Amino acid sequence: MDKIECTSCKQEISPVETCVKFLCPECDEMIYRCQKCRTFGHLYTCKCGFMGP
Amino acid sequence: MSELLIPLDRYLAAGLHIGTQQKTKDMERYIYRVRADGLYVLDVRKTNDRIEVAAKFLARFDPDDILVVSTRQYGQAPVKKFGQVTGAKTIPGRFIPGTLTNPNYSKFIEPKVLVVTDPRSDSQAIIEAKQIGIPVVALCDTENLLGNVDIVLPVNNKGRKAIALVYWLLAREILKARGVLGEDQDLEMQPSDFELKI
Repeated sequence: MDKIECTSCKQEISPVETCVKFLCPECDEMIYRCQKCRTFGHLYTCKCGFMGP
Repeated sequence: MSELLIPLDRYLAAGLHIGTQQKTKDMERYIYRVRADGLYVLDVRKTNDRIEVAAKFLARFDPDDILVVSTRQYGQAPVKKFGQVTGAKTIPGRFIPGTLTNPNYSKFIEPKVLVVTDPRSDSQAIIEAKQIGIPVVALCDTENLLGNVDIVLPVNNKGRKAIALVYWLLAREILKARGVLGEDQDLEMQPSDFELKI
């Protein structure tokens, strides 16, 4: 099984953790956000340069 | 610099850029300046860009998979209209706890993306979206926190006209992205049709 890493903190996301994944609005890259980064509203940057939230 | 979706005057007339007298660190990136009376003013260009981005994002989902929520009174009429125009599911008014998480509830639904009008007043919807792991798009003012929000629309989410204009623009851009409307076409409805009538 492929390892998933958080786009914000680059840490591996455990399979039992509730994370969120969605396609970047600017490109077709998948963005993963771990529970902690989501809760604290940490910034994420896609490879295309799109910065969120 | 990209062109605005509608003339700047219309944005300013609807008061889309007017924030509040509080600001949060999360929303600092979208604030343009602070007025003499202490009101923080949002950057209209960033708002415009974000509306485009959010529309592109939402257009990728099936209309049935989008859930739009507004507990706020002024957001309820625009949300209903948005649902009519785009085909998205809407919950104007009270969000019954368990709508997204309790399969035994008669109105249980499983959307793939959630749009909220105010992360503070629609906190129950955001909590449930967090539990089922779906992305959240939120209309945020200068005093909102961005916890559990994945895409922010920095707008005035208190104003009647401002909320109506945002949902009108979102609906128009989504239909354009889906190919229902041509690039130079406009919606038949006007932003005033999305407003709550008082």
